Amino acid sequence: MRAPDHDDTDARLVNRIAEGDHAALVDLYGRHAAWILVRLRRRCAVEELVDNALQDTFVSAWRSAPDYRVERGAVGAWLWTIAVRRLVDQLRRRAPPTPVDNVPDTVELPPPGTPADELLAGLAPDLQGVVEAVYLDGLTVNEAALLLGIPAGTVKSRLSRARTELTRTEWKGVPR
Amino acid sequence: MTDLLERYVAGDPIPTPIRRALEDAIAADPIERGRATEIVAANDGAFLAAVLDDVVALTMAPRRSRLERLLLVCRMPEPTARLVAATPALRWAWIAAVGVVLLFAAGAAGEGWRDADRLAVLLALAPLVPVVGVAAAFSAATDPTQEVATAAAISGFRLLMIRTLSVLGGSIAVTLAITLLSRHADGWLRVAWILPGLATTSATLVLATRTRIATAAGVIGCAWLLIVIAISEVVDDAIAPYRWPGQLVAIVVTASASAILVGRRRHLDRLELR
Repeated sequence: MRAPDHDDTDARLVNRIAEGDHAALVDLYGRHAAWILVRLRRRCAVEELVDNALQDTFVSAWRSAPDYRVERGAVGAWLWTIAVRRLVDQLRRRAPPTPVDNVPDTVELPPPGTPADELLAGLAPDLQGVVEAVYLDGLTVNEAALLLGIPAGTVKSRLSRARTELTRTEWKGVPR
Repeated sequence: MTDLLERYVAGDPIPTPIRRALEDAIAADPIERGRATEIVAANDGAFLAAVLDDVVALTMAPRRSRLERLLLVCRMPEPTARLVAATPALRWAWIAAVGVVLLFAAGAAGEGWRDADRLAVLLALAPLVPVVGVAAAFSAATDPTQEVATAAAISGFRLLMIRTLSVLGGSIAVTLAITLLSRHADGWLRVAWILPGLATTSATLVLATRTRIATAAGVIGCAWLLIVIAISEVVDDAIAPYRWPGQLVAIVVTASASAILVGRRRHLDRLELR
């Protein structure tokens, strides 16, 4: 499914954006805005927040284009990490976070190279959202709590349940 | 696949693992992405175009200067921060120029001068720094933000205060640096120019409600130098104007000038058009 030399046009666009080229920004938007919009909608039902997050995503991409490194991943993945964070920002601005005590802000990552769908398929449905937000989208526990609309403590306990389930099935040897 | 893609775009429930695999494919593969874009554009094309307009407008805005970003971090409201950051007297070129002039004044006085005389030159010039800075900030010839400032939805008086304080802040900082480094000054004499500086600046602003700001700055500047020279000659003490009676006079002048400015605040809206 993946094109062999995927997205080297995208990387060139980002380089031109880093040099302040607005035409390149318009091009990049034309290629990516639509799917980012849909993907954001699948994460959040509040239209207004999604709309703001979409706009913020490309404004952020404009500003952080000089930091983009092609070795660290394709442009699409880079844009999505920006987008999901902007969505969390929107959620945070809307609802002041409820204070959570003693929730460590980071968790260890799954083994590199684990295909996302396989990782998720090994889990109960209620754990999938949490694992996706934290492991795949790289959010912190508190950010995931905002995105999923559940308490951070719940995110934390679901993560540890997920870890148990994963080690019990085929992901033996996952560092705990 | 297309069917799944359509269901995905429409927001139909799809098991998480399948949805995630589809999303990763769309993000990575230009062909999948093109298909997704087509489906989305059918409904949301106009919306996407509108967001693009906003994105372009937002990214067209000039980058904030370092000073402006610093002020924003310090919680200064955005319009005020932009106004302060646009003050000519806070530009590096300006600060450097003022610093060089004062350094020469401090160092280049005649051979065989007494330290008190060298200091007197520095102290006489220092209060003129904010006067020139204010004149530059409010003169159409030197202020690039003239039209913007005139059209700003902010009262003339408030505008005047914000800009004057910005100039004073910058002027005092650079002059203080020079006088503190000066070998000729000691103790409180290093800061003896501050109150006279406030007096000359506020007097310039008062005069500027009646005449052009450049004229006002020139008149006040010359008057200041004449007074200083006259006093020094009469009492044969170069530092005399800066001793406590002089400081007292500076306070009185600053206070009355400020009172007059407050009284004439209605006239200040037009100050910058002169």
